[in-house]
Amino acid sequence: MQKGSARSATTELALPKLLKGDFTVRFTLALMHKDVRLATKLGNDSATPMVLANLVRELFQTVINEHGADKDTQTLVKLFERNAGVAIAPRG
Amino acid sequence: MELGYIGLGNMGGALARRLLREHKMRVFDLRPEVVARFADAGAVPTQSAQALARESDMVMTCLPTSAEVRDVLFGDGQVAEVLRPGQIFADMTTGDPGETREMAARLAEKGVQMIDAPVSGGPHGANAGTIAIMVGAPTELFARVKPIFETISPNIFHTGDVGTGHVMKLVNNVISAGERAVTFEALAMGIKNGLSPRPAPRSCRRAAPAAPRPSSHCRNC
Repeated sequence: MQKGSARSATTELALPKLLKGDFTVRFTLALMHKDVRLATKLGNDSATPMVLANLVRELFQTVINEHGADKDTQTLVKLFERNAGVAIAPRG
Repeated sequence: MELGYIGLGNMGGALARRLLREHKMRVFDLRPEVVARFADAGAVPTQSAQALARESDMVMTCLPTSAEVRDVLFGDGQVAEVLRPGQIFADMTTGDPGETREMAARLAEKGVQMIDAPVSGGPHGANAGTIAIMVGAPTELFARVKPIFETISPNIFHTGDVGTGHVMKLVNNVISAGERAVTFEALAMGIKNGLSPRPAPRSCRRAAPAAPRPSSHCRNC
């Protein structure tokens, strides 16, 4: 993915750590949720529909409720692992 | 220009350490032990945010949210009470653009210019001197503060008037959060359909190469 069209901060930085099972707190779910919440509020206040960002905010809220706001943003992977019934990060 | 830095947490601490290499700087944090550590590194410790603000030409903050910034200025911190005309208040928090513009308007009544300068790149980017700083400020004020921010990183961007730095940061983080989510969802589908988690990203790296590679170099395919 890093050499293909899906290259991103996730594939370059987050994924290599995730695949080693590294969930060290670098940026908390709480902070990411706050930022997306502020962005969707700004969208709302300026009558700009933010269909995707509102969805993403609720994904972060879901994972916060399940795993705790102080966990790293990488923890978001657990939501998708559960939804699909597969493991992406090694269990440890 | 005498600098003062309030909020020496994960992010603020890393930014303040960069500034400290080239500037005389006063520091304040609610945790005295953190202030003491900065004093050991050459910063001037202060007893309160107000004391820091009295002595600094430019007061900088990096706090969890705009609510704490408001508290420093107009709540318990009472910094606004001691700010004088000509002083600059630079907020590096990832804040609320609306709240920031409102605080800027209140400070402007006292002749104090508030600007927003949130960052992107994390403590690692701050320490490495590569962090992006998005500055919302009037053009002539931006020109004055740019050299100060450049002691943190060369990646300084003028986004427009006050508040726009925070808007840019929110745009940045919505993209970051969204691509994170969709990447995980797609990977889960891939793994469920036969990709194995470890080799998958490595072989995907070769998925759309700019030019064909000799097969001997394509060990993971």
